[in-house]
Amino acid sequence: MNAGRRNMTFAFIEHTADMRMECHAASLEGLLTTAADGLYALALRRVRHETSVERAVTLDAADTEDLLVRWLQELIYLMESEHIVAAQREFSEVSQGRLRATLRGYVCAAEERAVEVKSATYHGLEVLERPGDYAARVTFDL
Amino acid sequence: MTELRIEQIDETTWEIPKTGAMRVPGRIIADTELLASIRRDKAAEQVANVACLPGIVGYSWAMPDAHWGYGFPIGGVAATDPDQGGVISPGGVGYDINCGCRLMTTHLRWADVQPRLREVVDGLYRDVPCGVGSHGAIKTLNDKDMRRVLKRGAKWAVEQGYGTYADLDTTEEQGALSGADCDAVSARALSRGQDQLGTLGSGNHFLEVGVVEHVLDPAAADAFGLAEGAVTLMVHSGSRGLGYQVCDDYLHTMLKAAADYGIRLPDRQLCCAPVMSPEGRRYLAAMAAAANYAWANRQVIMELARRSLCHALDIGPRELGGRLVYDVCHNIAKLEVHEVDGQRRRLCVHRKGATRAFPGSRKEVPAVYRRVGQPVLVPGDMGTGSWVCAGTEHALATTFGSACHGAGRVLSRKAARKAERAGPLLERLDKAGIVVIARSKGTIVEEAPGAYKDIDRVAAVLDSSGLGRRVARIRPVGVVKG
Repeated sequence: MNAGRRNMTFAFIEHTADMRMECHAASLEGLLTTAADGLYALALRRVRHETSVERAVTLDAADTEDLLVRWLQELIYLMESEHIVAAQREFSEVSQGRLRATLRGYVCAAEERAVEVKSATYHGLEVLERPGDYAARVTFDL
Repeated sequence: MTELRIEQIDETTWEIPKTGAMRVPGRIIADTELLASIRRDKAAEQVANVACLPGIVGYSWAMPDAHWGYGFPIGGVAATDPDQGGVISPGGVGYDINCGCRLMTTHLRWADVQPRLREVVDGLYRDVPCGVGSHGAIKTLNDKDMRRVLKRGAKWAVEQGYGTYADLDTTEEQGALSGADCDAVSARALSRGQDQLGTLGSGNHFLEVGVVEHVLDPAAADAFGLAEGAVTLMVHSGSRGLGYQVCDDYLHTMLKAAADYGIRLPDRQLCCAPVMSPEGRRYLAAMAAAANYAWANRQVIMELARRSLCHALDIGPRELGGRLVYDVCHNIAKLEVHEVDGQRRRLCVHRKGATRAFPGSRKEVPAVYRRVGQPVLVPGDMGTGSWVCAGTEHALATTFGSACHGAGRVLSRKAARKAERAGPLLERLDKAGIVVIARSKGTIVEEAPGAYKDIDRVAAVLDSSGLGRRVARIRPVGVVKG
């Protein structure tokens, strides 16, 4: 299932040392997609729409907040270890405690990187779930 | 949240009284201006959160450079007693395990370097890989070498020809924490570390050529080898991707452990386990391995920089006389013996953006510094200066022998980007005689002098609070940023 992109937004808000991001979407899939877009907007100079590499991801988490952080940490790990940018994300399963997705993207060059994101943290982490409206706040360590 | 009550204890000490789930009061070292900055963001709130950790002893401390972090404030110090159920928290160490500074002094005088400063800085930028995801400073390490690095730390680097055994004498813990266990480090973490040894990284990490501007404590400066007019090199880096991954891995472990041990937390990033639990011991072993990687990293960087300086100035190692003054970590948790209420107790001291500041009476301090105390490196921003201080008995008696680790940010990265453009800033620094090279223009503005607190004020508070004695001020002349 592909998340619809309607009403999906992210914004960066002030934090003295690091970077906080707020995301909104109509579904949990949409929230995860938007959070990934936000991460790449922070970490890269630009994102190419290229899908030459593919990776499968399965994550288990304690709850939705944990799932969001683990998802972002997985994307950061792929970027740092294999330089992979997952430009497309296709979710085959998403629930509060589990995610399965196929990531398609490309290997980015060092020149395309803008900021080193050490990790997504649990500090001040919030996910608000209402029918048709998901909102999250997550802090990245830079 | 209602505003925290903060009471003044003396000129530079402020207390957050124990309320709610706090197990001890919080204490902040600051003057009124620094306190205002600490109150403006959420650092004081985080000091109160840390005070809720099981087994915390004395006070939850914030140093004069404290600012909002994640979980712990940056500039936070907390000691827990393992024998009283005290916990260890990866959030009290941070992602960049054993991020730290080292300072090298040289035989060079400013007049020797000034005519070739541009070549010197260009050379450092070329010879020490820096920037986002930097790699390839030395050969990619195989599994066997990785295990050796994680066990032996800086000593491994020296054995490979990166520096001398004398460097180890003036490195905290001689460049290797005991108890490191490679098997506690995940395959992911190991893979991230294989090609990053000897690289600076990005953000606030730097290489800085400086000149000793003035000396306030001649005896200590003499012991440290810091004469007025001498050229120095400072390195700020850490455990790179390996350390970040160790932190990620153990946050997951500790979230579960905290729930299993019934530990209630005001912030999930403070997740923790009793130091003596299987989870606590395993994290300590993995953290020590990552810390050792960081010491090897700074050792390799310093040697690459030594060779680069020799090449740029067309001199040999003897003329350079590059001597390591000290290497200190400022993101770490260590088991140390401290006296609390007249009793000697083994405590787990978390220093998150805080530096050890032991007086000469402690056996951990290198023999050459026993008369004056250990060097405490307090780097400022790239346009102002840095201080070298000395550890004190007062620090040992109050903050578990801890002091601040830098100036501390005052502007967010976003605000810093709005405040200044890279071009005019570089021009201004150039006019002030400071050559700056960075991989990214964004880094230059994020790291602009205005983004940081006034280092001279921070060092003055450190001195007047008795936590660190100012020894010498160093002014920057050449800076490499990632």
